Amino acid sequence: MDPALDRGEGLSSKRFWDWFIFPGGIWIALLFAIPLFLVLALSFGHVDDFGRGVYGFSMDNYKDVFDSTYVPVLVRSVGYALATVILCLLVGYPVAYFIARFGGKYRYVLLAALVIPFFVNYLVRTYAWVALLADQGLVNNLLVDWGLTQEPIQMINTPFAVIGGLVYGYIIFMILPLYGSIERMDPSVVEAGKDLYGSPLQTFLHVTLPATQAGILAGCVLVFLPAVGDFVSAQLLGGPDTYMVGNLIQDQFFAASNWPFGSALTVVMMLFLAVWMVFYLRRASKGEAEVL
Amino acid sequence: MAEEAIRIESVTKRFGDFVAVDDVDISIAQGEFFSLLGPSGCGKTTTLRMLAGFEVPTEGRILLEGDPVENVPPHRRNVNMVFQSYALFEHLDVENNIAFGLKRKKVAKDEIKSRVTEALELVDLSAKSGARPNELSGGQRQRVALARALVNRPRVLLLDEPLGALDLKLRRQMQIELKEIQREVGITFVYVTHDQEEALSMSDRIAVMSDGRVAQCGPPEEIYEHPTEEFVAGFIGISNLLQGRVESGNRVRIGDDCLEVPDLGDGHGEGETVQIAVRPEKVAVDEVGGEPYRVEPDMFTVEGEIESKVYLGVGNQLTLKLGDGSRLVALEQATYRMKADEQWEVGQRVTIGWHPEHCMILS
Amino acid sequence: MSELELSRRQLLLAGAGLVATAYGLSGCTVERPLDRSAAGDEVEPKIDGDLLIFNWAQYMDPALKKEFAEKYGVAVNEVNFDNLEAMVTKLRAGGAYDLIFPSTEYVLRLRNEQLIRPFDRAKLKNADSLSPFYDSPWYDPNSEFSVPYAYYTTGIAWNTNEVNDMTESWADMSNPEALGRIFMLDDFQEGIGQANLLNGFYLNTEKPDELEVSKQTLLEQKEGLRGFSTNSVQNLVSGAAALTQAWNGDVVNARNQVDDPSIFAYQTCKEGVPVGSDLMCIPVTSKSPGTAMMFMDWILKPENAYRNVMWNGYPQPVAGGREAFAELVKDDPSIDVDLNQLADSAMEFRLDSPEARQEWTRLWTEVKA
Repeated sequence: MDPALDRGEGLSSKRFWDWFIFPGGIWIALLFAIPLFLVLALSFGHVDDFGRGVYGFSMDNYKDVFDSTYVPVLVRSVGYALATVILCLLVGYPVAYFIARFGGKYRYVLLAALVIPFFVNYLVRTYAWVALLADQGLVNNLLVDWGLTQEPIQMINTPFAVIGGLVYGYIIFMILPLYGSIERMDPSVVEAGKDLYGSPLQTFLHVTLPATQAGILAGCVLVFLPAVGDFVSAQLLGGPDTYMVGNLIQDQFFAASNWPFGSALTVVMMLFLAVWMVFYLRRASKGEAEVL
Repeated sequence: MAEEAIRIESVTKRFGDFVAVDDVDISIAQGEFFSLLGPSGCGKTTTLRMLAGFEVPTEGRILLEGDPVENVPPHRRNVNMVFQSYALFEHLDVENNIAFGLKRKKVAKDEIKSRVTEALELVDLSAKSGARPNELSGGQRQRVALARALVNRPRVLLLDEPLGALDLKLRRQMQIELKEIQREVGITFVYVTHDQEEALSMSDRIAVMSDGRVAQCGPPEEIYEHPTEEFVAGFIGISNLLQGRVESGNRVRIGDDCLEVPDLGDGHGEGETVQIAVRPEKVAVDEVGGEPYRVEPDMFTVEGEIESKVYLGVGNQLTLKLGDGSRLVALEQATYRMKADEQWEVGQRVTIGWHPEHCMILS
Repeated sequence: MSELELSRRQLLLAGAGLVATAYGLSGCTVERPLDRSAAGDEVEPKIDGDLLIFNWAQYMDPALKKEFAEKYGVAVNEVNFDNLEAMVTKLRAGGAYDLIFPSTEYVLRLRNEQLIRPFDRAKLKNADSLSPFYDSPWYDPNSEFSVPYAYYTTGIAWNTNEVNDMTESWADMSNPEALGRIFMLDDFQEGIGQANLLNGFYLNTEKPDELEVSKQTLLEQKEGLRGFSTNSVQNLVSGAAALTQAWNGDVVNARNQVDDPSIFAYQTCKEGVPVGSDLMCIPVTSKSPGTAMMFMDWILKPENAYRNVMWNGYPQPVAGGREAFAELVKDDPSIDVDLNQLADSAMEFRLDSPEARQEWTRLWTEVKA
């Protein structure tokens, strides 16, 4: 230990910081770590005759998680989340690029216009999409009015609607990091690409994209993580074949009254997401990605 | 003049109501080191960016070796640019940064390799070929930017204040290196800078720009010794400006004294007010009443007093106040003839003189 | 090393502590035991404090609460839950509610867990007109823990503009006129139950071979589905559904939301009619059980039951409530289902063991996955 810490000011300032971590530390321990630990503990338990979760030391729930029944649900969830990430990137990149490079003094107004709707409850926003995509909804009415289609097109209750809902729900998590990295990018790098005989497309692929890869990575991870565990979009916009792992977990808690199995599913999901998170944070710590 | 590399013909560039470049004509010869010099906002960078293709002229034409290029996008122009920020590709190592342009031009792999190696040698960075830009010093990054542009063997190399981010010592060193490299490769350089010393020391010719126009264009000596307008005289070095009235012949009255200049220039009628400029290093100062020591007999002389004095080591910079209240700066070089104990006192009365041929008459 | 970093030894200690804690937890249920000391006392229907109601949202006419509060000089407060599991969790955690509204199966669970207290139904003045359907039910054989609040039947609703041929059978869930525009209730018991009935099995069968047959039925029905949803009102009104498995109360609501109510018809099915009931119970944690009894009686009062049904659209099995519902659906009596007439075909969902529940939910997941 540094001997200076044993004396005078060094000591009191060290004490100050020691005490300073207590409120936050206790808060995290009580409200984050303990519930997480209880979920973990319950995942090894079982249901008693009254339908209550009982703690235990059984691996049965984990065996069930990897039962073939649930594999399609897991695969579907990952597939939807990946599709969501790709769509968010395709839609979000031009938007972020436009605001960052051409937004001028309206940049923050435009960003606020994008962010403010996301303060509205996700459930409410998804209901708005139900109204939008319904057979008699706004989109179909316009299509019919414009003569683009005779009969309304079934948009709601399809996988596309679920993915669309996820894109709408989480695209802000793509746009914000993208905006950050595009805004920080030196615009002359793009000019250098063009100056060095890169066509606009080549310059975009070989210069702009690599220069903003930190934002792309951050956006992809931040969209993927919540999308893969989402249940609202599938519940409200889904059809008969859009059951996601979030719905499965929710059903275990609220319909099946099987909290231990729901907990095991949750733990497996968290581990799966943690792998992604660790990958992302390692990239970030190497300076190749940004931590929001 | 040698074959023409660039011709800028009546080019005007407007951004909304703002006129960035105002009816500019410039001709640059093959192999020339040409500088665009001026304060920020004078239009020099906009002119360079029009040469690169990042901006399209509102009016006028730009010819590159005789071909109009004003509507050719940057990636189809055989010119390359060294950016002020260097604009290196951080995700690529030095070698791939340099190879970027050749790859886009689909040059054969072995040729890319040999040309990159050659470019690395030219800028003395062979040892750093595998490094990422963020591992390099400012000077090294600057050289990568230079090699990345030169490796393409462009017709013209455009440099936008390339040394602006370097410290003074490194800047001096790079000025020399840049000049050497230019001589070696023989490519036309168009160099944008706001540093008059840099422009004077490196350029074959300089265009001094102000408010979107070319104020004066010519070799460094001409720009320095014979500025044609007050702006140029003021921007290049320190200039002493005095008001004078034209009398008969080549005589100009300054205060109570008359000065006969060798060449008044055309079109100055009798009674007209003119600006007379004289460089500080051309001004001689002697003690009033003492032996004439620096002021020579054929000099034009006035009396004044020393208002302030700055010791520069290699000499003194004196600010002198004349009878009519106007001020002159004199740069007194320390020479072998200088007395060791010679000290000017503030407030001391002095005789100030200069040779009439060192007067510049500005329109 | 900074003093904030944990050493390897500290980590091991912490890990050992967690394992020890987990061992201590092992065998414990998620919640601590409740203090039930007062629950054994006899409850008299008399005002003994303010009332805190724990109910589904939008399930009771607020005017009834307000008038009760004014008449008896007590405060009547209400908080809402989103699902019964959440309600039970709060009760287990000791929430001091005075009146709750569980379903039949939850009454059994709450009774088994001793989370609700008995009371003498005979002391409710307005309990005489209750439907005999609720005398000595399976979940409350002595009728001492619950009083019925509202009930609903499960049947099939359809849009008469799009579907013509209905057969009063659960086979209509695959009506060819409506293929691709059919919704099934997103409820594992309703879904599996109708398949069981269609196959001629006991509604709540636990026989693996029968459940396997029903699973195949469900997978076939799924081919024609547009989705699993409990949002029947919206599905009908928005036109998304041509046909949907539905609770009759929702059909009343859907009809109220369109210009021409006759476009939505409803049938119960000859193979069997699942009946669901929400009941009123008093938790053991109640601080004013006497006021709770007074309020139950208030709700069962014929004129109040009438107003409540007119307000929420769900029939109440008590004098006044029945008449109100009949009036609500007078132009389509098929929606009005009289419990007394259903006799044998009325069935209630009950899965008595957790294992059976697990089997059913697993089957349901297999269908939906």
